[in-house]
Amino acid sequence: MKTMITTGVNLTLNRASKFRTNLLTCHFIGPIEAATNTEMTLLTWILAHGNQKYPESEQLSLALAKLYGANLQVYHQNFGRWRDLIVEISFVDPLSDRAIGRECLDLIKDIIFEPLLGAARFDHEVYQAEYQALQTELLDLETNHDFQTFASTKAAFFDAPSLQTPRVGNLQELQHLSETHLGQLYQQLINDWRVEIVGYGQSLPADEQMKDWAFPARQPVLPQPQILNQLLAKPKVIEREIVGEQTHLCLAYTLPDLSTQVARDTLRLTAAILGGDEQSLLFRQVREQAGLAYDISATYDSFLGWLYIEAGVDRQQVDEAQAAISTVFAQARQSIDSQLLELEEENEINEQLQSQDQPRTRALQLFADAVFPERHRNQAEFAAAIHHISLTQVQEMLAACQLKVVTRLLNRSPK
Amino acid sequence: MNRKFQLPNGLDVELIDKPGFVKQFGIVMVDFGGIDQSYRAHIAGEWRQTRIPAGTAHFIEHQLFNKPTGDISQRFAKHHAETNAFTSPTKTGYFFSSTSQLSANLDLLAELVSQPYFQPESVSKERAIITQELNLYQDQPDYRLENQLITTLYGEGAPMATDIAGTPASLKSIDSEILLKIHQTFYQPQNMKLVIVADLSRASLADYWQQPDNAWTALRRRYQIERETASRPAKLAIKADSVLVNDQLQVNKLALGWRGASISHLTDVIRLQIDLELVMTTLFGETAERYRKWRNSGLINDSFQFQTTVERGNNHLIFTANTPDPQHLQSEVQEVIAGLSEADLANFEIVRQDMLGNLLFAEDEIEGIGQESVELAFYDWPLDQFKQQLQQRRLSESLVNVQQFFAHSQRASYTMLRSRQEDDNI
Repeated sequence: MKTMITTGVNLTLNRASKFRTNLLTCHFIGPIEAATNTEMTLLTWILAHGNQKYPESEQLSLALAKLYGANLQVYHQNFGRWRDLIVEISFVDPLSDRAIGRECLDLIKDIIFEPLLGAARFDHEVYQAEYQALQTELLDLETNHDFQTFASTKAAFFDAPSLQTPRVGNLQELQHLSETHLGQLYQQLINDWRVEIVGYGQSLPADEQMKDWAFPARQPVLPQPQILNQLLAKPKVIEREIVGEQTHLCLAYTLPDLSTQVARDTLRLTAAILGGDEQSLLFRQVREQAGLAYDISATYDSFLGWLYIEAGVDRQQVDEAQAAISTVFAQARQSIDSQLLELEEENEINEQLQSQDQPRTRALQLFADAVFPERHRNQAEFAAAIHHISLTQVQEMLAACQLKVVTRLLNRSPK
Repeated sequence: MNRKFQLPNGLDVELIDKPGFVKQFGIVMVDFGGIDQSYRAHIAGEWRQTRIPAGTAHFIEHQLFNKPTGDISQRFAKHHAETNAFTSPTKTGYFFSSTSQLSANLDLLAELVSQPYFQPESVSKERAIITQELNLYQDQPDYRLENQLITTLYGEGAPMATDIAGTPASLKSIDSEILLKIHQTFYQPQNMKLVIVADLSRASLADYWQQPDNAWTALRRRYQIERETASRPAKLAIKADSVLVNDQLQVNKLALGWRGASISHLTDVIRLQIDLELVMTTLFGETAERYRKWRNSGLINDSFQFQTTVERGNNHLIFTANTPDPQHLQSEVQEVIAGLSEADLANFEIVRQDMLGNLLFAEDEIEGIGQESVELAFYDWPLDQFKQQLQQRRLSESLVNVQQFFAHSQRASYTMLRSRQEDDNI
């Protein structure tokens, strides 16, 4: 069932009876320029801390525990130039009387409409507590070399400041954060951002209760989410020394225009062939045959328009490992084993099929269908599309990947 | 319909039915892990002792994927299945997940674990890969923190204190001969459990086990073995509190742990696991007022956690946290434990309700069901019985059990301090 609660606020329900798990999710979608990643992270932590009914965090935790361990998650994600803040409660209903569902619905509304932000007496104390906690976490990440490799690469790759930081944020942004601005940001979410509410499961409250939300009407204005990145004349190389047991290497590539479904499907298959699993080219050639890396993988973000390869290597072999990765690319652009293509096609189809066994994936799919209806496909249509991709298309995709940033964190052993 | 049975060769098999699910999951677990570094085998009428180099279980796990025709994961992939494996201190597990061809994938799983192909060249290459894996983990301060605490609790050189993947020195002593010998010793059907989770109405396994060439019934028992109990000194003289200054850290880290006394009865193992989880979650979980106070004051953040491990050869409770004041946090935790009484456990029933809810959530996770079931199979505990036990434990029983654990345990801590202390708010 899909319905509009008010302008700019929509509800999608699916009362599927397959799972014990039920999910109530509220997505707030806004432009990426509206906030920094650090602001979004801190905001999610404050919202998850408590609300005016349960201002102390253990009170909220006890309330959830009493509901047979109902699970509250408040987090954010990006779709290119879109931000998405999610408030979600998942729950089970052992008595099958929907009472827990109603309580969870009331709770999620309390969290959204009666947060501690802006609440007298609690506001500043909560802000300080969560600010401190985030600061400690970001400090700890300074010595996470995997994370720093990724963060350095991202900062160098993207031109727009709003795209340069990792999703959790960074210390520089945290220092410039203001409590007042965070409160204003939250008001924008409630009043101006697009809202998509999703309910999935067999124990959801009745339709009338699910439709009852106090959101005002809004006319959300969102940019095109997709990003097409500019290539540099020459790849940027970032290199520095770290103290550790392993050298970290990251190669980041621009991608061609991904505005069509065919292009996105081709990218998905290409990334799998390149470095998605133990059958992939990077795993087999760089790890298994050459023994140059224990971990190597290829990841992409089609909204951000980039693909990056990460590897942990020995310092003495970093040049060799980088050359081996380039060789994999060069060879694959010329020729790919058709059996590998078929294998990865079946893997992707199989993975998509298996994901139907996960309640959270089903709920996320409802959300995706609501915001990107043109991308909706059933399993058979997805399988047909994947089967339709040719070797030539994969090779053209690889040829269109242009190296933009190389990050090398070279280790010096502490011993 | 769920079924449990044993094959003539001693392999225990459990089939768990999940109607309506497309995923099919199969896992076989071997009762052999990182802490198994010595055994006696009864061969040709006599008992022979053998020492196992550290990291052998993990090495075998990696190398078993290598077959004469290449990496067996490629053949799984042709059957639309993903496969993987893991090694823990006491077990090695191999599993696949797919949506079809269950019997073909089961055949491959049997081949994976029962037909070793250990070649000198690939063993040599694997050694290099595993060394890099060791480096990967050693690069992580949190991994080193916990490792150092385990070493303190169990003693330098003890099997529990040695990395599951071994050491560069022990890896050099592992060759294809040793791998084969150890494989033949431990990878026997009476030492394994197999669990399959699938919609059994779609899976067509009805005749699978009766086929004369069934890959699992073909597994051979070879000889009797006696595992030599992993190093458990009666009373280890441990340095209670160790501190290391690390100029690479940005935050201070604390690991605080208790190592319990040996447990011989399998039921007691499960009960202790349940009781520790119930009591520790009540005392230190997010439902506890002290958790909020510590967090709001900055003494802890979301990195604060505890883990309970109760299994063959080892049981311990470990707290880890990033904290500006490790000493203060340590004394707070120790004070709570020292004064443990019913008065501290007012929320015990609510925490139990939470944990029961988590078991219901877990019913939607095919892989989780498979992994939990195969582990519990070594204790002869079905998943339902675990849930029952969780429902039936009384607060007074859990409290006494946990108090006994602490009364007979040894404590240690390991702290990593950042060298720059000028910013006292961090």
